[in-house]
Amino acid sequence: MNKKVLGIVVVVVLLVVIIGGCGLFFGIKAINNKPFRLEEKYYENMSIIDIKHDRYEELVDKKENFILYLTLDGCTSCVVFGSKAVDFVVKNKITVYRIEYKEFSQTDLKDEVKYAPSMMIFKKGKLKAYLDAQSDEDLQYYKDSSTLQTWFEKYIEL
Amino acid sequence: MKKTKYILLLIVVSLLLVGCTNKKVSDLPKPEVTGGQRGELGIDKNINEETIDKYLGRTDSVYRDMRMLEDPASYEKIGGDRYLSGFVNGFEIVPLPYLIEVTGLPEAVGNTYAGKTLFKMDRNGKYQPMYEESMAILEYLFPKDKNIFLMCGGGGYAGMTKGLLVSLGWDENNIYNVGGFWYYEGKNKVEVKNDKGTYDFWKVPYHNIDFKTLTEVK
Repeated sequence: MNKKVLGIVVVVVLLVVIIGGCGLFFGIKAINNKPFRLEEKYYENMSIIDIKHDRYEELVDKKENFILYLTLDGCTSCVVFGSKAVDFVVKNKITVYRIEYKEFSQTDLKDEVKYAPSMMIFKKGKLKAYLDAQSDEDLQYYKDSSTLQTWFEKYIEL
Repeated sequence: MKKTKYILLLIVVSLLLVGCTNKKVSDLPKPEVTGGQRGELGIDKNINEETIDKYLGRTDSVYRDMRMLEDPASYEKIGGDRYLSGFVNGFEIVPLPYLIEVTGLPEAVGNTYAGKTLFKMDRNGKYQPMYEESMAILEYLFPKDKNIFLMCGGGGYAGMTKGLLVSLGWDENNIYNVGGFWYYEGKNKVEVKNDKGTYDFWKVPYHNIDFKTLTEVK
């Protein structure tokens, strides 16, 4: 086989590997980004359950899929956002956990989710997504219940 | 001639030295609001819970924490604490609900303090003094010729205070919303809640306003 043909074959093979690899990568990424289900028990009741950091650690150790709402003592914007959290729970008839900032600051996520109010979504005990109270991009989701619903639907089957 | 030169040199050196020692006093970034939900409260991007320790103790500034010692709002119904359980050393407490009416809290929490206030908002959205002494008290607590650092639990009351002051003629470039005490992890934390679960309010530098001694505006 002459060198030119060999060169073309090598290039084609490389392209197939690269494109195939990219396709596989994006395919995996798409699967990972598909909305997932919470633990079935969280679809059975409509409630907000207050927890402390030890209960949070249990949920993480058990690798559960759950929602955690972060609030802060005496924070008026947390109180206002709380009403949207309640609307979300009632509308979707699900259970979410609520943790106060003092308790949350004892967890390993303290430096990542720095400010309340926040909503956090956990998949298999790992933080999948959260609302950042200092992010201009996330501000829209704090504004009303319907945009908050939209945010959740990106990650959770409701 | 030589003597004059030495005197001039001495004056120049003195001015330079004075300039250097005053460098810290003049070295404040302009107020700049941070992003997101925190930005909605007016919390500052540069001077906030994480950095406030660098700006404490300035002689050209005052430091005010806008919380109540005990808030009538039922924060425990949402897992909170209605008491002032700590503050940053250097900050003095001036309860915002004594300055203006605080509204908009959800039903579960109920109302905060609903008693007398120094100012009330009229139908045109402007703050009107309820007492002859209202403005003098405000100017005493928040001197117009000083930088004013404001703090509270999460940044909300501090933001409302800045809004009040600016609407009454204070320069917004001298007022910083430092944010919320609960995010503060610096070296100047003063714990008020003790191991017995009670509160050592005697530690708190608190500005009480006794409305019985004031003259109502007619």
